[in-house]
Parts: sequence; structure tokens; C-alpha cells
Amino acid sequence: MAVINSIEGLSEADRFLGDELYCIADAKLVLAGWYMMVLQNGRSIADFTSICAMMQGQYGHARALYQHLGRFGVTLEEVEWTRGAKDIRSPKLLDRPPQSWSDFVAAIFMAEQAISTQLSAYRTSLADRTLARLADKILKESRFHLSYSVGWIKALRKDPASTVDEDARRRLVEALDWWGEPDQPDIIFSSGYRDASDSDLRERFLNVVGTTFDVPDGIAGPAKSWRPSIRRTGSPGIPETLFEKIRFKNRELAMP
Amino acid sequence: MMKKVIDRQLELGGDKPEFYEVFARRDSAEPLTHIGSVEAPNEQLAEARAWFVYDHHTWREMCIVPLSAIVTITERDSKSKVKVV
Repeated sequence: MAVINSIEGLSEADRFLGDELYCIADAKLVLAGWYMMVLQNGRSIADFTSICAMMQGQYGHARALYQHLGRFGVTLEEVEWTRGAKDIRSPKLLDRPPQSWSDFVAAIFMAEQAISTQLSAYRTSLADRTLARLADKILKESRFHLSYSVGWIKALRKDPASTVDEDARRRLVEALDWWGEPDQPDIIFSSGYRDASDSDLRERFLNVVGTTFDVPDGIAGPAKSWRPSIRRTGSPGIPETLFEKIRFKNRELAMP
Repeated sequence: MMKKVIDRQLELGGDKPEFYEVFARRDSAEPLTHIGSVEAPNEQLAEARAWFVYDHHTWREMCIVPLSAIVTITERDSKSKVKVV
């Protein structure tokens, strides 16, 4: 596996792979920021500890993926210090702040499922064994994040006034923005980096969500403006207000 | 000073306390040992809370048992309580 020092030296498949890994790593960075901001709302000491651990896990996964992006000529300087709000490639799902505890639980369920679904397709990659091992480790650690959100969904549903199902329906539409239109060319799959296409992964995501929530038939796919390099429709980047909260700060205090 | 009142349903996810006992071992040579308890309204939340709260070792094996499934022998009818985390 070659280490490339500039983007010009990359094959088309490697460029697409680098973009997708950037999107997954940024999804984890922003999700870690969500956990950080919600931490104080942990409903018990065990919840506080769990949210803290999930935050730490997501930061660790993001950093490990950023480090792997070094293979594509990406530097730590670029990843952590020179990017602005418009350069962050996290899913649209995480743009809108949680509106309530149940909306938070619904949103983290969708985000954790979406990220794990996408990473699961790298676990068997023969083209990049380091990435395959990294994906496997991340997935094993993320299992407990999923248990946490599923457990809370079940608990919230005991209350007849709970809005968790409505919150999930809204968040599902936002989550699906992460996948493009079905059956479009998928060079990461055809080059053997992933063992499933984006269309199959979208379907896999809907199936796994369907074990916890009712998934309505005929959910609209993303608009034509969907771009694989940012895995989003519309303009690139996240809201400035969100970026200000999640960006790396105080460089002088950062570890070398 | 006002005493904090816990809304069990809202803050803990269940209207009555349900406990799970946590057992773990660091390697296959060690016996499975009781390491603590968690309160949770269902298995999934108990699994996550146990894993995150008792993360002071890299466990080779961890399992949880609902307290309601444990048949007490020596402590039958006693008022002893589990340690709540």
C-alpha cells in the first residue's frame, strides 16, 4: 500500500475512497461534538458515563481515520487546523441540533447506524487491509453505542406521550441524504475497496432501522445535486454555529 | 436548599428500579467475578451502561444477569440490597 504525498498521485478510485473516509471521519467528529454538548444532560451517573465514553470513542475513531487519510496525502494540519465550516463533510442529519432528549436519542440512533452500516462494507477489504482492520475495530466498539440508543428508544416508548417515533421519522429522512440515488456508478465498490455498493448499503441501513422503527414505503431519494465527495445534497459544509462548537481550539494546548 | 427530585421515567428510563448484576473476567484463566451492578429499564441499556461504567479493564468476557433472575439462598428474606452504581 503506497503512501501518496499529493492528491495528483492518486488513482480515481483512491480519490473517491479518500473522500468517503473523510466523510465518515467527519461524521464521527461532529457526532463526538454532539455527545460533548449533551453530556451535561445525562440523566443518571451511568448515562453521564456512557455519553462520556461514546464521545471519547467517536473522537478516537475520527482521529484514527484522519491518520489513515495520510495515505491519501491528507495532513493533520489540514484536518484539524486549516479547515472551516464549509470544509466539514459530516452528514446533513447532524446539522440540526437535538430538539429534545427523544430527538437526541433518535438522531444518535440514525447516525450510529448509518456510520456503522457504511463502515461494515470495508471490513473484508483485501485492497486495504489496514482499513479493514480499523473498520472491524470501530464496529466492535460501536456495538455498545447502538445498544445505548436502542435501549433508550424502548424506554421512551413506555410513555404514551413519547415523541420518539415522530422524531425518528424526521431524522430518517435527513439520514438518507447520506446515500445518493440508487444504482449510480460506484467506483469504490467496483474497485473492491467496499464489498457492497452504496445502493445496497442504503437498503441495509433501512432494513436495520426497520427492526426498531416503522420505515414508511417510498421514502424519496436525495435530490440530483447529491455529491459523493461530501455525501450530501446542496452546498458543502456545516452551519457556522455548529462548526464553532465542534472545531478544534487552542492549538497551543493541543498535543504535538 | 432544594433537594433534587429524580423523575424516574424521564431521567432513568423506567418507573421502577430494575437492576442487573455485572460479571466479568480479564482472561480465560480467571473465574467470572461479580464486579458490580447497574440500573436500567431494559437489557440493551443495561448492556451499554455496564460496558461503559465498568471499563477499568479490557475484559475478555462480560455478562449481565437481571437481579430478578437470581434465586437467593443464604440471604432469603433479608433486607440486604445490591450496590447501586
